[in-house]
Amino acid sequence: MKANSPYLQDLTRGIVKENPVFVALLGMCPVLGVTAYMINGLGMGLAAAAVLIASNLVVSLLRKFIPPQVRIPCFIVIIATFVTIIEMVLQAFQPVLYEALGVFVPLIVVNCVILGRAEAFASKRPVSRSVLDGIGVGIGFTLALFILATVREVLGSGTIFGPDPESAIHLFGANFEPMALFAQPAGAFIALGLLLAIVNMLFKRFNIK
Amino acid sequence: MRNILKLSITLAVVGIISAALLTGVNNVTAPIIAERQEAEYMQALEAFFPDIDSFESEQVDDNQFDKIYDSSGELLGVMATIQQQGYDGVITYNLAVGPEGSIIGVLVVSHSETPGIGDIITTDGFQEQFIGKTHEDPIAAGDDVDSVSGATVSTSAMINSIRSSVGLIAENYLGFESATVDIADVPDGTYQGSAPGLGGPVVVEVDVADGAIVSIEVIEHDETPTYFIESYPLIPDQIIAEQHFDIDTKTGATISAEAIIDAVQDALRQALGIEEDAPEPEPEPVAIDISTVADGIYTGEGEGFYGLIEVEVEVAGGQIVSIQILSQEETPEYFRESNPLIPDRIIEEQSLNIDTTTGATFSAKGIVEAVRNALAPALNNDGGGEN
Repeated sequence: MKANSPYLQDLTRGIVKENPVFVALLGMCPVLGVTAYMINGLGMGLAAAAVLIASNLVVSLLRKFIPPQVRIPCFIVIIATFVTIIEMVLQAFQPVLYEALGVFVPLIVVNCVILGRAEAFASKRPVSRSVLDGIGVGIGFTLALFILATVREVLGSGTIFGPDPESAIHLFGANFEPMALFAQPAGAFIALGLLLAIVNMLFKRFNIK
Repeated sequence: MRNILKLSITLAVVGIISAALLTGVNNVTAPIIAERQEAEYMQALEAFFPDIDSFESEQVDDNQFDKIYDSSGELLGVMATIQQQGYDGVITYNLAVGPEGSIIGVLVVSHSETPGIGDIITTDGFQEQFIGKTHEDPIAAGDDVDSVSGATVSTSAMINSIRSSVGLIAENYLGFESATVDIADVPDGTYQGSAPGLGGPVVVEVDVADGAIVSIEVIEHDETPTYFIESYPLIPDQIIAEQHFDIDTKTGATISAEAIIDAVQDALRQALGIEEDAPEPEPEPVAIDISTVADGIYTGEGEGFYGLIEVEVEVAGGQIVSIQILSQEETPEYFRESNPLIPDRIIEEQSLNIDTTTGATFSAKGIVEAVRNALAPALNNDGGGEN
Protein backbone atom coordinates (compact mmCIF):
# COMPACT_ATOMS: atom_id res chain seq x y z
CA MET A 1 0.00 0.00 0.00
CA LYS A 2 1.33 3.43 -0.86
CA ALA A 3 1.37 6.02 1.85
CA ASN A 4 -1.38 8.00 0.22
CA SER A 5 -3.50 5.11 -0.93
CA PRO A 6 -7.19 5.53 -0.09
CA TYR A 7 -7.08 2.17 1.70
CA LEU A 8 -4.53 3.31 4.23
CA GLN A 9 -6.42 6.55 4.67
CA ASP A 10 -9.65 4.66 5.25
CA LEU A 11 -7.95 2.73 7.99
CA THR A 12 -6.20 5.58 9.78
CA ARG A 13 -8.66 8.41 9.31
CA GLY A 14 -11.03 7.20 12.05
CA ILE A 15 -8.31 6.67 14.65
CA VAL A 16 -7.08 10.23 15.09
CA LYS A 17 -8.09 12.77 12.49
CA GLU A 18 -11.77 11.89 12.46
CA ASN A 19 -11.95 10.16 15.80
CA PRO A 20 -15.68 9.52 16.38
CA VAL A 21 -15.53 10.62 20.02
CA PHE A 22 -12.88 13.29 20.31
CA VAL A 23 -13.49 14.96 16.95
CA ALA A 24 -16.95 14.06 15.69
CA LEU A 25 -18.53 13.81 19.17
CA LEU A 26 -20.76 10.96 18.05
CA GLY A 27 -22.25 8.20 20.20
CA MET A 28 -21.80 10.08 23.46
CA CYS A 29 -24.30 7.96 25.40
CA PRO A 30 -22.08 4.88 25.94
CA VAL A 31 -19.00 7.10 26.00
CA LEU A 32 -20.27 8.80 29.13
CA GLY A 33 -22.22 5.89 30.53
CA VAL A 34 -19.80 2.97 30.78
CA THR A 35 -16.42 4.59 31.21
CA ALA A 36 -16.20 4.50 35.00
CA TYR A 37 -13.83 1.51 34.72
CA MET A 38 -11.22 0.70 32.08
CA ILE A 39 -12.42 -2.84 31.51
CA ASN A 40 -15.97 -1.65 30.87
CA GLY A 41 -14.76 1.08 28.49
CA LEU A 42 -12.61 -1.38 26.61
CA GLY A 43 -15.39 -3.98 26.46
CA MET A 44 -17.92 -1.44 25.22
CA GLY A 45 -15.47 -0.11 22.63
CA LEU A 46 -14.68 -3.57 21.31
CA ALA A 47 -18.36 -4.59 21.23
CA ALA A 48 -19.26 -1.44 19.30
CA ALA A 49 -16.26 -1.92 16.99
CA ALA A 50 -17.29 -5.50 16.25
CA VAL A 51 -20.80 -4.35 15.36
CA LEU A 52 -19.42 -1.49 13.30
CA ILE A 53 -17.10 -3.70 11.23
CA ALA A 54 -19.78 -6.31 10.66
CA SER A 55 -22.47 -3.78 9.76
CA ASN A 56 -20.12 -1.88 7.43
CA LEU A 57 -19.32 -5.15 5.70
CA VAL A 58 -22.94 -6.20 5.23
CA VAL A 59 -24.22 -2.73 4.33
CA SER A 60 -21.51 -2.42 1.71
CA LEU A 61 -22.28 -5.90 0.36
CA LEU A 62 -25.96 -5.09 0.05
CA ARG A 63 -25.57 -1.51 -1.15
CA LYS A 64 -26.69 -2.35 -4.69
CA PHE A 65 -29.74 -4.35 -3.56
CA ILE A 66 -31.17 -1.97 -1.00
CA PRO A 67 -33.37 0.71 -2.59
CA PRO A 68 -32.55 4.18 -1.25
CA GLN A 69 -36.10 4.70 0.07
CA VAL A 70 -35.80 1.90 2.65
CA ARG A 71 -32.08 2.07 3.29
CA ILE A 72 -32.33 3.44 6.85
CA PRO A 73 -34.72 0.72 8.14
CA CYS A 74 -32.54 -1.90 6.44
CA PHE A 75 -29.40 -0.52 8.07
CA ILE A 76 -31.07 -0.51 11.45
CA VAL A 77 -32.25 -4.11 11.09
CA ILE A 78 -28.72 -5.14 10.08
CA ILE A 79 -27.15 -3.26 12.99
CA ALA A 80 -29.75 -4.57 15.45
CA THR A 81 -29.06 -8.12 14.31
CA PHE A 82 -25.37 -7.82 15.02
CA VAL A 83 -25.99 -6.08 18.35
CA THR A 84 -28.33 -8.86 19.43
CA ILE A 85 -25.76 -11.47 18.41
CA ILE A 86 -23.07 -9.66 20.39
CA GLU A 87 -25.43 -9.39 23.34
CA MET A 88 -26.19 -13.11 23.36
CA VAL A 89 -22.53 -14.03 22.92
CA LEU A 90 -21.48 -11.71 25.76
CA GLN A 91 -24.18 -13.08 28.02
CA ALA A 92 -23.07 -16.63 27.32
CA PHE A 93 -19.32 -16.23 27.47
CA GLN A 94 -18.55 -12.92 29.22
CA PRO A 95 -21.30 -12.65 31.86
CA VAL A 96 -19.37 -10.26 34.10
CA LEU A 97 -18.78 -7.79 31.28
CA TYR A 98 -22.38 -8.27 30.13
CA GLU A 99 -23.69 -7.31 33.59
CA ALA A 100 -21.35 -4.33 33.80
CA LEU A 101 -22.30 -2.95 30.40
CA GLY A 102 -25.98 -3.41 31.17
CA VAL A 103 -28.40 -1.48 29.04
CA PHE A 104 -25.61 0.02 26.93
CA VAL A 105 -25.19 -3.15 24.91
CA PRO A 106 -28.68 -3.03 23.35
CA LEU A 107 -28.18 0.71 22.97
CA ILE A 108 -25.36 0.07 20.49
CA VAL A 109 -28.22 -0.20 17.98
CA VAL A 110 -28.82 3.52 18.20
CA ASN A 111 -25.15 4.45 18.44
CA CYS A 112 -24.96 7.08 15.74
CA VAL A 113 -21.33 6.25 14.98
CA ILE A 114 -22.46 2.96 13.48
CA LEU A 115 -25.48 4.24 11.58
CA GLY A 116 -23.40 7.24 10.54
CA ARG A 117 -20.65 5.12 9.01
CA ALA A 118 -23.22 2.89 7.31
CA GLU A 119 -25.01 5.86 5.78
CA ALA A 120 -22.08 8.13 4.99
CA PHE A 121 -19.46 5.60 3.98
CA ALA A 122 -20.29 1.91 3.65
CA SER A 123 -23.42 2.37 1.56
CA LYS A 124 -21.37 4.12 -1.14
CA ARG A 125 -18.03 2.29 -1.05
CA PRO A 126 -16.73 -1.14 -1.98
CA VAL A 127 -16.55 -3.86 0.65
CA SER A 128 -12.80 -3.74 1.28
CA ARG A 129 -12.74 0.00 1.95
CA SER A 130 -15.85 -0.22 4.14
CA VAL A 131 -14.31 -2.90 6.31
CA LEU A 132 -11.10 -0.89 6.66
CA ASP A 133 -13.15 2.15 7.59
CA GLY A 134 -15.04 0.05 10.17
CA ILE A 135 -11.77 -1.18 11.66
CA GLY A 136 -10.33 2.35 11.77
CA VAL A 137 -13.36 4.01 13.31
CA GLY A 138 -13.78 1.03 15.66
CA ILE A 139 -10.20 1.42 16.89
CA GLY A 140 -10.73 5.16 17.27
CA PHE A 141 -13.92 4.63 19.28
CA THR A 142 -12.35 1.96 21.49
CA LEU A 143 -9.24 4.07 22.02
CA ALA A 144 -11.30 7.10 23.04
CA LEU A 145 -13.39 5.07 25.49
CA PHE A 146 -10.29 3.45 26.91
CA ILE A 147 -8.51 6.77 27.45
CA LEU A 148 -11.57 8.37 29.05
CA ALA A 149 -12.16 5.30 31.23
CA THR A 150 -8.53 5.26 32.34
CA VAL A 151 -8.68 8.89 33.42
CA ARG A 152 -11.97 8.32 35.21
CA GLU A 153 -10.94 5.11 36.95
CA VAL A 154 -7.57 6.43 38.13
CA LEU A 155 -9.10 9.65 39.47
CA GLY A 156 -12.48 8.28 40.54
CA SER A 157 -11.48 4.95 42.09
CA GLY A 158 -7.70 5.11 42.41
CA THR A 159 -7.38 1.78 40.63
CA ILE A 160 -6.74 0.30 37.23
CA PHE A 161 -8.43 -2.82 35.89
CA GLY A 162 -11.14 -2.60 38.60
CA PRO A 163 -13.69 -2.97 40.00
CA ASP A 164 -13.24 -6.75 40.25
CA PRO A 165 -10.99 -7.13 43.33
CA GLU A 166 -9.10 -9.97 41.65
CA SER A 167 -7.82 -7.81 38.84
CA ALA A 168 -7.92 -4.34 40.39
CA ILE A 169 -4.58 -2.71 41.04
CA HIS A 170 -4.60 0.03 43.64
CA LEU A 171 -2.30 2.78 42.52
CA PHE A 172 -2.10 4.98 45.56
CA GLY A 173 -2.15 2.75 48.63
CA ALA A 174 -4.91 2.09 51.12
CA ASN A 175 -5.25 5.58 52.52
CA PHE A 176 -5.88 7.25 49.18
CA GLU A 177 -9.26 8.85 48.96
CA PRO A 178 -10.39 8.88 45.32
CA MET A 179 -12.39 11.70 43.77
CA ALA A 180 -15.61 9.71 43.68
CA LEU A 181 -17.15 12.38 41.46
CA PHE A 182 -15.17 11.06 38.51
CA ALA A 183 -16.78 7.64 38.88
CA GLN A 184 -20.19 9.27 38.57
CA PRO A 185 -21.96 10.64 35.50
CA ALA A 186 -21.13 14.29 36.24
CA GLY A 187 -17.46 13.34 36.37
CA ALA A 188 -17.80 11.73 32.94
CA PHE A 189 -18.78 15.08 31.43
CA ILE A 190 -15.95 16.88 33.22
CA ALA A 191 -13.34 14.29 32.22
CA LEU A 192 -14.57 14.28 28.61
CA GLY A 193 -14.44 18.09 28.50
CA LEU A 194 -10.87 18.13 29.78
CA LEU A 195 -9.81 15.46 27.28
CA LEU A 196 -11.47 17.36 24.41
CA ALA A 197 -9.54 20.46 25.41
CA ILE A 198 -6.28 18.52 25.41
CA VAL A 199 -7.09 16.91 22.05
CA ASN A 200 -7.90 20.29 20.51
CA MET A 201 -4.68 21.72 21.90
CA LEU A 202 -2.64 18.88 20.45
CA PHE A 203 -4.38 19.16 17.08
CA LYS A 204 -3.55 22.84 16.91
CA ARG A 205 0.03 22.27 17.99
CA PHE A 206 0.68 19.60 15.37
CA ASN A 207 -1.48 21.25 12.79
CA ILE A 208 -3.80 18.29 12.25
CA LYS A 209 -6.91 19.21 10.35
CA MET B 1 -47.24 -0.04 -7.19
CA ARG B 2 -44.47 -2.32 -8.37
CA ASN B 3 -42.03 -0.06 -6.58
CA ILE B 4 -43.80 -0.40 -3.25
CA LEU B 5 -43.81 -4.15 -3.70
CA LYS B 6 -40.09 -4.13 -4.34
CA LEU B 7 -39.43 -2.02 -1.25
CA SER B 8 -41.56 -4.26 0.94
CA ILE B 9 -39.93 -7.41 -0.35
CA THR B 10 -36.44 -6.01 0.23
CA LEU B 11 -37.28 -5.11 3.81
CA ALA B 12 -38.95 -8.46 4.39
CA VAL B 13 -35.95 -10.36 3.01
CA VAL B 14 -33.57 -8.39 5.24
CA GLY B 15 -35.85 -9.09 8.21
CA ILE B 16 -36.13 -12.80 7.47
CA ILE B 17 -32.38 -13.24 7.08
CA SER B 18 -31.86 -11.35 10.32
CA ALA B 19 -34.40 -13.51 12.15
CA ALA B 20 -32.81 -16.70 10.82
CA LEU B 21 -29.37 -15.56 11.94
CA LEU B 22 -30.61 -14.64 15.41
CA THR B 23 -32.43 -17.94 15.80
CA GLY B 24 -29.24 -19.77 14.98
CA VAL B 25 -27.13 -17.83 17.47
CA ASN B 26 -29.82 -18.08 20.12
CA ASN B 27 -29.94 -21.86 19.73
CA VAL B 28 -26.25 -22.00 20.49
CA THR B 29 -26.10 -19.49 23.33
CA ALA B 30 -29.44 -20.00 25.14
CA PRO B 31 -28.54 -23.36 26.71
CA ILE B 32 -25.14 -22.00 27.79
CA ILE B 33 -26.77 -18.95 29.36
CA ALA B 34 -29.43 -21.02 31.12
CA GLU B 35 -26.88 -23.51 32.41
CA ARG B 36 -24.61 -20.76 33.70
CA GLN B 37 -27.48 -18.96 35.43
CA GLU B 38 -28.66 -22.15 37.06
CA ALA B 39 -25.15 -23.01 38.22
CA GLU B 40 -24.76 -19.51 39.65
CA TYR B 41 -28.09 -19.78 41.44
CA MET B 42 -27.27 -23.20 42.87
CA GLN B 43 -23.96 -21.80 44.06
CA ALA B 44 -25.74 -18.94 45.77
CA LEU B 45 -28.07 -21.44 47.47
CA GLU B 46 -25.18 -23.65 48.55
CA ALA B 47 -23.41 -20.69 50.10
CA PHE B 48 -26.31 -20.34 52.55
CA PHE B 49 -27.48 -23.96 52.73
CA PRO B 50 -24.46 -26.28 52.37
CA ASP B 51 -26.64 -29.38 52.80
CA ILE B 52 -29.07 -28.45 50.04
CA ASP B 53 -30.39 -31.32 47.97
CA SER B 54 -33.40 -29.85 46.22
CA PHE B 55 -35.54 -26.77 46.22
CA GLU B 56 -39.06 -25.70 45.37
CA SER B 57 -39.59 -22.29 43.82
CA GLU B 58 -42.52 -19.99 44.12
CA GLN B 59 -42.85 -16.64 42.38
CA VAL B 60 -44.74 -13.92 44.24
CA ASP B 61 -44.92 -10.64 42.31
CA ASP B 62 -41.30 -9.82 41.46
CA ASN B 63 -39.90 -11.92 44.26
CA GLN B 64 -38.93 -15.55 44.28
CA PHE B 65 -39.13 -17.82 47.30
CA ASP B 66 -37.29 -21.13 47.33
CA LYS B 67 -37.99 -23.74 49.98
CA ILE B 68 -34.73 -25.58 50.54
CA TYR B 69 -34.67 -29.28 51.45
CA ASP B 70 -31.81 -31.60 52.37
CA SER B 71 -31.42 -35.15 51.07
CA SER B 72 -33.83 -36.55 53.69
CA GLY B 73 -36.54 -34.05 52.73
CA GLU B 74 -36.06 -31.95 55.84
CA LEU B 75 -36.81 -28.24 55.38
CA LEU B 76 -33.54 -26.33 55.76
CA GLY B 77 -35.09 -22.93 55.33
CA VAL B 78 -36.21 -20.48 52.70
CA MET B 79 -34.14 -18.46 50.32
CA ALA B 80 -35.87 -15.42 48.92
CA THR B 81 -34.72 -13.36 45.97
CA ILE B 82 -36.20 -9.96 46.63
CA GLN B 83 -36.41 -6.91 44.43
CA GLN B 84 -36.49 -3.67 46.32
CA GLN B 85 -36.49 -0.08 45.11
CA GLY B 86 -33.30 1.58 46.31
CA TYR B 87 -32.04 5.11 45.91
CA ASP B 88 -31.35 4.64 42.24
CA GLY B 89 -33.11 1.70 40.65
CA VAL B 90 -33.87 -1.78 41.87
CA ILE B 91 -31.74 -3.65 44.41
CA THR B 92 -31.96 -7.42 44.02
CA TYR B 93 -30.79 -9.39 47.01
CA ASN B 94 -30.91 -12.89 48.44
CA LEU B 95 -32.26 -13.43 51.90
CA ALA B 96 -31.76 -16.82 53.50
CA VAL B 97 -33.89 -17.68 56.51
CA GLY B 98 -33.54 -20.81 58.64
CA PRO B 99 -36.47 -22.93 59.83
CA GLU B 100 -36.58 -21.07 63.16
CA GLY B 101 -37.15 -17.79 61.37
CA SER B 102 -33.62 -16.49 61.87
CA ILE B 103 -31.60 -14.92 59.11
CA ILE B 104 -28.77 -17.07 57.76
CA GLY B 105 -27.46 -14.48 55.39
CA VAL B 106 -28.09 -11.52 53.14
CA LEU B 107 -26.39 -11.03 49.79
CA VAL B 108 -26.93 -8.17 47.38
CA VAL B 109 -26.99 -9.69 43.91
CA SER B 110 -27.35 -6.59 41.78
CA HIS B 111 -27.96 -2.92 42.35
CA SER B 112 -27.37 0.44 40.77
CA GLU B 113 -26.77 2.55 43.86
CA THR B 114 -24.27 5.39 43.72
CA PRO B 115 -20.71 4.06 43.50
CA GLY B 116 -18.74 4.95 46.60
CA ILE B 117 -21.86 5.85 48.61
CA GLY B 118 -24.93 3.63 48.32
CA ASP B 119 -22.89 0.59 47.35
CA ILE B 120 -22.01 0.21 51.03
CA ILE B 121 -24.97 -2.20 51.04
CA THR B 122 -22.74 -4.73 49.28
CA THR B 123 -20.13 -4.74 52.06
CA ASP B 124 -19.83 -7.64 54.49
CA GLY B 125 -20.04 -5.19 57.37
CA PHE B 126 -23.51 -4.13 56.31
CA GLN B 127 -24.82 -7.52 55.23
CA GLU B 128 -23.53 -9.52 58.18
CA GLN B 129 -25.29 -7.39 60.78
CA PHE B 130 -28.53 -9.13 59.82
CA ILE B 131 -27.27 -12.65 60.49
CA GLY B 132 -29.06 -14.24 63.44
CA LYS B 133 -31.87 -11.69 63.54
CA THR B 134 -35.28 -13.32 63.60
CA HIS B 135 -38.76 -12.41 62.50
CA GLU B 136 -39.43 -11.42 66.10
CA ASP B 137 -36.59 -8.91 66.21
CA PRO B 138 -37.35 -5.29 65.42
CA ILE B 139 -34.75 -5.13 62.57
CA ALA B 140 -35.00 -1.35 62.60
CA ALA B 141 -32.37 1.24 61.87
CA GLY B 142 -30.79 2.58 65.03
CA ASP B 143 -32.33 -0.23 67.07
CA ASP B 144 -30.67 -3.57 66.42
CA VAL B 145 -29.22 -2.81 62.99
CA ASP B 146 -27.60 0.32 61.64
CA SER B 147 -28.21 2.41 58.59
CA VAL B 148 -25.26 4.36 57.29
CA SER B 149 -25.40 8.12 57.17
CA GLY B 150 -24.53 9.42 53.74
CA ALA B 151 -26.27 6.35 52.33
CA THR B 152 -29.43 6.48 54.41
CA VAL B 153 -31.87 5.80 51.59
CA SER B 154 -30.01 2.78 50.23
CA THR B 155 -29.41 1.25 53.63
CA SER B 156 -32.89 2.00 55.03
CA ALA B 157 -34.48 0.50 51.93
CA MET B 158 -32.55 -2.70 52.57
CA ILE B 159 -33.30 -2.79 56.29
CA ASN B 160 -37.03 -2.21 55.84
CA SER B 161 -37.28 -4.69 53.02
CA ILE B 162 -35.42 -7.34 55.02
CA ARG B 163 -37.68 -6.75 58.03
CA SER B 164 -40.86 -7.21 56.08
CA SER B 165 -39.47 -10.11 54.05
CA VAL B 166 -38.40 -12.07 57.12
CA GLY B 167 -41.85 -11.60 58.60
CA LEU B 168 -43.43 -12.71 55.35
CA ILE B 169 -41.26 -15.81 55.10
CA ALA B 170 -41.86 -16.76 58.73
CA GLU B 171 -45.61 -16.45 58.28
CA ASN B 172 -46.04 -17.93 54.81
CA TYR B 173 -43.39 -20.62 54.66
CA LEU B 174 -42.32 -21.51 58.17
CA GLY B 175 -45.73 -21.62 59.82
CA PHE B 176 -45.26 -18.87 62.37
CA GLU B 177 -48.31 -16.83 63.18
CA SER B 178 -48.13 -13.23 64.15
CA ALA B 179 -49.60 -12.55 67.54
CA THR B 180 -53.04 -11.22 66.74
CA VAL B 181 -55.14 -9.13 69.00
CA ASP B 182 -58.85 -9.64 69.50
CA ILE B 183 -60.28 -6.17 69.59
CA ALA B 184 -63.42 -7.35 71.40
CA ASP B 185 -61.31 -8.19 74.48
CA VAL B 186 -59.90 -4.71 74.82
CA PRO B 187 -61.53 -2.66 77.59
CA ASP B 188 -62.77 0.81 76.71
CA GLY B 189 -60.17 3.50 76.87
CA THR B 190 -57.52 5.43 75.04
CA TYR B 191 -54.23 3.69 74.35
CA GLN B 192 -50.94 4.64 72.82
CA GLY B 193 -48.64 2.42 70.81
CA SER B 194 -45.74 2.77 68.47
CA ALA B 195 -43.98 0.90 65.68
CA PRO B 196 -40.95 1.65 63.54
CA GLY B 197 -41.70 3.43 60.26
CA LEU B 198 -39.38 4.51 57.51
CA GLY B 199 -38.26 7.70 59.19
CA GLY B 200 -38.59 6.75 62.86
CA PRO B 201 -41.23 5.57 65.28
CA VAL B 202 -44.86 6.11 64.36
CA VAL B 203 -46.90 6.76 67.49
CA VAL B 204 -50.66 6.37 67.47
CA GLU B 205 -53.44 6.99 69.93
CA VAL B 206 -56.28 4.50 69.72
CA ASP B 207 -59.75 5.03 71.18
CA VAL B 208 -61.64 1.85 72.03
CA ALA B 209 -65.31 1.85 73.01
CA ASP B 210 -67.65 -1.14 73.34
CA GLY B 211 -65.06 -3.56 72.01
CA ALA B 212 -64.47 -1.62 68.83
CA ILE B 213 -61.89 0.86 67.65
CA VAL B 214 -63.63 4.19 67.24
CA SER B 215 -60.71 6.44 66.39
CA ILE B 216 -57.06 6.23 65.49
CA GLU B 217 -54.89 9.27 65.52
CA VAL B 218 -51.25 9.45 64.54
CA ILE B 219 -49.73 11.74 67.14
CA GLU B 220 -46.11 11.47 66.11
CA HIS B 221 -44.28 10.39 62.98
CA ASP B 222 -41.25 11.24 60.93
CA GLU B 223 -42.33 9.83 57.59
CA THR B 224 -41.94 11.66 54.31
CA PRO B 225 -45.01 13.95 54.31
CA THR B 226 -45.73 13.58 50.59
CA TYR B 227 -45.87 9.82 50.97
CA PHE B 228 -47.43 9.69 54.38
CA ILE B 229 -50.65 11.28 53.11
CA GLU B 230 -51.09 8.18 50.97
CA SER B 231 -51.46 6.11 54.13
CA TYR B 232 -53.00 8.54 56.52
CA PRO B 233 -55.89 8.69 57.21
CA LEU B 234 -56.63 5.95 54.67
CA ILE B 235 -55.27 3.11 56.79
CA PRO B 236 -56.87 4.16 60.12
CA ASP B 237 -60.20 4.54 58.32
CA GLN B 238 -59.91 1.04 56.94
CA ILE B 239 -59.03 -0.43 60.33
CA ILE B 240 -62.01 1.30 61.92
CA ALA B 241 -64.32 0.19 59.12
CA GLU B 242 -63.22 -3.44 59.15
CA GLN B 243 -62.18 -3.81 62.81
CA HIS B 244 -59.27 -6.08 61.96
CA PHE B 245 -55.71 -5.60 60.84
CA ASP B 246 -55.58 -7.78 57.80
CA ILE B 247 -56.04 -4.92 55.37
CA ASP B 248 -54.48 -3.98 52.09
CA THR B 249 -51.42 -1.88 52.80
CA LYS B 250 -50.39 -1.39 49.19
CA THR B 251 -50.57 2.36 49.16
CA GLY B 252 -47.99 4.77 47.87
CA ALA B 253 -46.37 4.37 51.27
CA THR B 254 -46.57 0.72 52.20
CA ILE B 255 -44.03 0.83 55.00
CA SER B 256 -45.72 3.76 56.69
CA ALA B 257 -49.05 1.97 56.28
CA GLU B 258 -47.67 -1.15 57.95
CA ALA B 259 -46.14 0.97 60.68
CA ILE B 260 -49.54 2.46 61.47
CA ILE B 261 -51.11 -0.99 61.68
CA ASP B 262 -48.28 -2.29 63.85
CA ALA B 263 -48.55 0.75 66.10
CA VAL B 264 -52.28 0.23 66.57
CA GLN B 265 -51.71 -3.44 67.39
CA ASP B 266 -48.96 -2.41 69.77
CA ALA B 267 -51.36 -0.07 71.55
CA LEU B 268 -54.00 -2.79 71.94
CA ARG B 269 -51.45 -5.35 73.07
CA GLN B 270 -50.39 -2.98 75.79
CA ALA B 271 -54.01 -2.47 76.69
CA LEU B 272 -54.41 -6.22 77.12
CA GLY B 273 -51.12 -6.47 78.92
CA ILE B 274 -49.71 -8.81 76.30
CA GLU B 275 -45.99 -8.51 76.48
CA GLU B 276 -44.69 -8.69 72.99
CA ASP B 277 -41.56 -10.73 73.42
CA ALA B 278 -39.53 -7.61 73.18
CA PRO B 279 -35.80 -8.14 73.30
CA GLU B 280 -34.23 -7.41 76.64
CA PRO B 281 -33.42 -3.74 76.82
CA GLU B 282 -29.68 -3.26 76.63
CA PRO B 283 -28.17 -2.47 80.01
CA GLU B 284 -27.47 1.22 80.35
CA PRO B 285 -23.80 1.83 79.86
CA VAL B 286 -22.03 2.81 83.04
CA ALA B 287 -22.12 6.54 83.40
CA ILE B 288 -18.63 7.91 83.51
CA ASP B 289 -17.91 10.85 85.72
CA ILE B 290 -14.61 11.97 84.31
CA SER B 291 -13.72 14.12 87.30
CA THR B 292 -13.41 10.98 89.43
CA VAL B 293 -10.96 9.30 87.09
CA ALA B 294 -7.40 9.38 88.37
CA ASP B 295 -4.73 10.96 86.22
CA GLY B 296 -3.09 8.54 83.89
CA ILE B 297 -3.10 7.03 80.45
CA TYR B 298 -5.74 4.42 79.69
CA THR B 299 -6.42 2.26 76.67
CA GLY B 300 -9.70 0.72 75.57
CA GLU B 301 -11.43 -0.85 72.61
CA GLY B 302 -14.73 -0.17 70.92
CA GLU B 303 -16.48 -1.77 68.01
CA GLY B 304 -16.49 0.23 64.78
CA PHE B 305 -18.04 -0.62 61.44
CA TYR B 306 -15.43 -3.15 60.37
CA GLY B 307 -13.52 -4.04 63.50
CA LEU B 308 -12.16 -2.87 66.78
CA ILE B 309 -11.05 0.70 67.34
CA GLU B 310 -8.37 1.03 70.00
CA VAL B 311 -7.82 4.33 71.74
CA GLU B 312 -5.44 5.79 74.28
CA VAL B 313 -6.98 8.31 76.64
CA GLU B 314 -4.93 10.65 78.75
CA VAL B 315 -6.58 12.04 81.89
CA ALA B 316 -5.03 14.85 83.90
CA GLY B 317 -6.61 16.87 86.67
CA GLY B 318 -9.96 15.09 86.31
CA GLN B 319 -10.16 16.02 82.64
CA ILE B 320 -9.59 14.17 79.39
CA VAL B 321 -6.70 15.99 77.81
CA SER B 322 -6.04 13.83 74.77
CA ILE B 323 -7.50 10.92 72.85
CA GLN B 324 -5.31 9.04 70.40
CA ILE B 325 -6.56 6.39 67.99
CA LEU B 326 -4.07 3.52 68.32
CA SER B 327 -5.56 1.23 65.71
CA GLN B 328 -8.67 0.90 63.58
CA GLU B 329 -9.88 -0.92 60.50
CA GLU B 330 -12.46 1.56 59.27
CA THR B 331 -12.89 2.78 55.70
CA PRO B 332 -10.43 5.68 55.49
CA GLU B 333 -12.80 7.99 53.64
CA TYR B 334 -15.50 7.53 56.27
CA PHE B 335 -13.26 7.35 59.29
CA ARG B 336 -11.89 10.81 58.69
CA GLU B 337 -15.44 12.11 59.16
CA SER B 338 -15.26 10.96 62.79
CA ASN B 339 -11.61 11.45 63.60
CA PRO B 340 -10.54 13.90 64.96
CA LEU B 341 -14.06 15.33 65.18
CA ILE B 342 -15.33 12.91 67.84
CA PRO B 343 -12.22 13.00 70.12
CA ASP B 344 -12.35 16.79 69.89
CA ARG B 345 -16.01 16.82 70.88
CA ILE B 346 -15.38 14.53 73.84
CA ILE B 347 -12.49 16.68 75.03
CA GLU B 348 -14.46 19.86 74.53
CA GLU B 349 -17.55 18.68 76.38
CA GLN B 350 -15.70 16.40 78.83
CA SER B 351 -18.53 13.95 78.38
CA LEU B 352 -19.19 10.75 76.45
CA ASN B 353 -22.77 11.79 75.91
CA ILE B 354 -22.10 13.58 72.65
CA ASP B 355 -23.69 13.76 69.25
CA THR B 356 -22.24 10.91 67.18
CA THR B 357 -24.11 11.67 64.00
CA THR B 358 -21.31 12.26 61.52
CA GLY B 359 -20.69 11.02 58.04
CA ALA B 360 -19.46 7.89 59.80
CA THR B 361 -21.79 7.22 62.69
CA PHE B 362 -20.56 3.67 63.28
CA SER B 363 -16.96 4.73 63.67
CA ALA B 364 -18.01 7.64 65.86
CA LYS B 365 -19.92 5.33 68.19
CA GLY B 366 -16.95 2.97 68.17
CA ILE B 367 -14.62 5.72 69.34
CA VAL B 368 -16.99 6.74 72.14
CA GLU B 369 -17.34 3.11 73.21
CA ALA B 370 -13.57 2.69 73.20
CA VAL B 371 -13.08 5.75 75.39
CA ARG B 372 -15.81 4.50 77.72
CA ASN B 373 -14.14 1.10 77.97
CA ALA B 374 -10.81 2.75 78.63
CA LEU B 375 -12.15 4.79 81.51
CA ALA B 376 -14.64 2.32 83.06
CA PRO B 377 -12.04 0.07 84.75
CA ALA B 378 -10.28 3.13 86.07
CA LEU B 379 -13.44 3.89 88.02
CA ASN B 380 -13.80 0.41 89.48
CA ASN B 381 -10.21 0.38 90.60
CA ASP B 382 -10.96 3.53 92.44
CA GLY B 383 -8.41 5.57 90.63
CA GLY B 384 -5.69 2.98 90.15
CA GLY B 385 -4.67 4.00 86.67
CA GLU B 386 -1.83 2.32 84.88
CA ASN B 387 0.83 4.88 84.30
